[in-house]
Amino acid sequence: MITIEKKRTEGPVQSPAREGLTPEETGVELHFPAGLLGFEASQHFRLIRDEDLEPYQWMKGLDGEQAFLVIPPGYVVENYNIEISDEDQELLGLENPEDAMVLNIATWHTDETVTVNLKGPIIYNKVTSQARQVIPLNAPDLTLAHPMGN
Amino acid sequence: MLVLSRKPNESIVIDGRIKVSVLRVDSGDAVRLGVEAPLDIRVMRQEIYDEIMASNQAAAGSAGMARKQASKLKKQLAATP
Repeated sequence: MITIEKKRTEGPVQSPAREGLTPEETGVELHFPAGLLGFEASQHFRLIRDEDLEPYQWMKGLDGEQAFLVIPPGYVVENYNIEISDEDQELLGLENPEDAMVLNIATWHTDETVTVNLKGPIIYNKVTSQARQVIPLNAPDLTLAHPMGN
Repeated sequence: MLVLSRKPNESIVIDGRIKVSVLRVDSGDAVRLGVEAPLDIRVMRQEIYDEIMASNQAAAGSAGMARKQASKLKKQLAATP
């Protein structure tokens, strides 16, 4: 088991660089050998910056029309700790928690509220470029639809 | 649906590479199962799969609307404590 910890991102909400995402990395390609849950066939995505939306980013499918709005957890909660199973760690080739980029998927609801899925985060290994939507071992303590703002 | 009867310590094999064993049957109604599968076979409780899948589908469905209403989305973020 490996524990990944992300803390609240300080300062004005401007650039994804604050969560360790350099501008180069925001154009990064994510390879999901297992797809996303419910979208198992979607294995290739690209992170795309959108100045109108930062620090949200687009995770756009290269296999189809799929697009997701994602956000680093540092913009969502004070402390975000997730425990990654040995299997997920091995699949990601993750040796060091610092190599992991974490993104959470946001949903824009018809009542104009936004929630973020903290229970099924996306982990991206910056070293191996493997990505996976994981269910952390501590998932029962995590929120499926964390409300943003009011 | 294929229906099979198995006793504790008996198993079924799926596709020659996935083994599901009955480990224990509680006096209540719980059955303890063991699953041996290759690493790339994702095994999870259905409730969790269903809720994450539904959340992903809602997120994918909402992406177009989020694009159109980017300014409102940013306000949501600014209001986050």
